[in-house]
Amino acid sequence: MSATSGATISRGCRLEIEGLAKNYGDVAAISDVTLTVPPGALITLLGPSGCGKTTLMRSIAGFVSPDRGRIALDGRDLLALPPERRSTAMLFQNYSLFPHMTVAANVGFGLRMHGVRRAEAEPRIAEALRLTRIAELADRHPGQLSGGQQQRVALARALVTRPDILLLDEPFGALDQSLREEVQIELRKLQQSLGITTLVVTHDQLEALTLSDLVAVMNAGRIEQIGPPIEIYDRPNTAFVAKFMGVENLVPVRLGARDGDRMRVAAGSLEALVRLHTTAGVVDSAILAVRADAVEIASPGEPGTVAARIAFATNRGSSALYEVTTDDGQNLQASEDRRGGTLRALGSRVGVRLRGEACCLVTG
Amino acid sequence: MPLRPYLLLLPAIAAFSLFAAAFVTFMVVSFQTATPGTVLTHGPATFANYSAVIASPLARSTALATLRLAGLMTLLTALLGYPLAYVLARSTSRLLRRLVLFGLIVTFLSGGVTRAYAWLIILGNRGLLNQMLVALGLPTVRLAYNETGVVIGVVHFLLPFFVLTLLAALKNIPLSLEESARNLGASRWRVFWHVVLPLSIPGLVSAASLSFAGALSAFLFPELLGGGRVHMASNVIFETILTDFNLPRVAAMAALFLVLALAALALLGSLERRTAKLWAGATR
Ligand SMILES: Nc1ncnc2c1ncn2[C@@H]1O[C@H](COP(=O)(O)OP(=O)(O)OP(=O)(O)O)[C@@H](O)[C@H]1O
Ligand SMILES: [Mg+2]
Repeated sequence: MSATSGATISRGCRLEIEGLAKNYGDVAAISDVTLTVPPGALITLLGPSGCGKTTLMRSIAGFVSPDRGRIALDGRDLLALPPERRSTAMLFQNYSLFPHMTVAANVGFGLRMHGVRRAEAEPRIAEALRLTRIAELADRHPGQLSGGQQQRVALARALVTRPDILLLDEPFGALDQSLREEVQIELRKLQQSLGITTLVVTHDQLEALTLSDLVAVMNAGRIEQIGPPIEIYDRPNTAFVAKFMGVENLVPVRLGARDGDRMRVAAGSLEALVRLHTTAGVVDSAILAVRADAVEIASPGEPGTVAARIAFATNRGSSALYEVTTDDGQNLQASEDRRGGTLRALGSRVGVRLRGEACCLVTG
Repeated sequence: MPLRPYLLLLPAIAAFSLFAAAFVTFMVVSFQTATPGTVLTHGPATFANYSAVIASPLARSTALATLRLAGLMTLLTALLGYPLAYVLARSTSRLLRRLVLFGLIVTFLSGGVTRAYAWLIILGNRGLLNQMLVALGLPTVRLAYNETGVVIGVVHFLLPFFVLTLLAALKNIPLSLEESARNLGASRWRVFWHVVLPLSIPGLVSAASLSFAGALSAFLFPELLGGGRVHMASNVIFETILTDFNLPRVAAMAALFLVLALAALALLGSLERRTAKLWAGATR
């Protein structure tokens, strides 16, 4: 995976999408999608089922014709071109290897279609097989391969043509958990070493966080938020993104006094001083996104805490997850390191406090 | 009750035995001798009928003509039928699919004799087509009462069988394979040539075998559209019964034609395996 000769290096293209929309009858599969992916970056499209991820990807590859908008690679307009002239490489969910050809013939298919002569094609095929670590499978037929091996063949077949952009639709869906993590990391290393602009579709937030330079969270055909994974994780803009990123508590709050870039907020007797990341929109309806680990559990009556009761407790390995109910009726999920001890008893009195610096104001 | 399953098979076994009995009788007769002036036959067993048929120029020319015509009909059916099947399998226009399907099903629903006469009305020397040519001031063409008419009639008859058999095979080729190929830089035509066609060879051979068998046994269309000039196996067998009244001779002729037909179909089958291999080799 490490040593890459020049043969397969791709130059990395800038992908620009502007105002893209596609309707199926009266269903808007995607509406007004705009995004830019810098050369060589990996972006994941993250979102629930039916939010338009596949439609967006297939529009880039040319299998869906959008109703409006523009797609360009390094400034060249793509939409006017048929799929075979777009220089996009798409990995299909079922791998779609040609069953009547050997692995080597599958990998060489794109080169043949591009009129690359055999003398030049053969070293490139060998290189692609080596990069994806399947050199020993060259003479087999797809029917004789495991799912993971088929996926490597599909990847080799896609990379060998030196595409401008690599498109992967839920590439790890069919793999079991342990293989999945291994392949994710391997793909990321390969993608980085080749410098190829890549777009991955997934509905697994952990996968998006592991793989990406950029995450675009989609909801009902639109991009809700786009940014580096850490930003999306730490500072979601909307309740939808927060929920999708696994934020356990979305608490409606009253806004209080502003103090520089901080603001005092309150929900009943609970109070917190939170950092303002965006000022847009949060003024009218404010929701505080609070991860379970930002809810601190202390002894009852401790200063600065609100009196509460443990309503539910479960074990999460080294930590415990509690549901606490404050005396004025607020329900919160809170996690706490067990420090090797047992869980707190149900119904026991505690004090809770929000760690404001770990909370985030979002729009509804 | 281990007998139970066999009881269920009883009707099938009875029907099959009846067919088998008829077939055995017919084979036995082919080794006997006709009693002159009657429909009866008698022993002892003899190969005389077979050697007579093999020696007969009519039987030989019929065998050749039947194979040639059936081959031509199958080829034309395949050339016309493949695009139709592909449209049915892949077209995104529901209207187009329905139109094609409707056209095919209608030929199923109308009887053979009706259709043969319909073709006569269209193709006949003073038929609709020639009337149109005359109206346009063009010379007329002879399309009926010759091989052309028979070929048109039989191909039309075979088309739905061919298309529906091939359709099943084409539907089994995942659309994503075609998209994959286009994504890798293949034009529509090359996708067809390198992916769809090779993967459809087994279905194509099944459909062609079915059509070939149907063409070999064609009787009605050569009889009605051939004007007595087109000699295919079934028609010659039929005429020989009427003129010679020699059942054993005809039985031997039929048996020989059957062997020939089976051999031709077996050849087609072996061709399938060979082409599939060759193609895979060529696509490397
Ligand atoms: N060919 C089509 N005809 C009609 N509607 C379609 C078609 N393709 C997609 N849709 C609709 O468009 C919307 C977006 O579909 P899309 O396949 O892009 O979702 P997705 O985000 O990829 O979902 P998933 O995670 O389930 O794969 C859905 O409501 C879907 O029903
Ligand atoms: Mg999808």
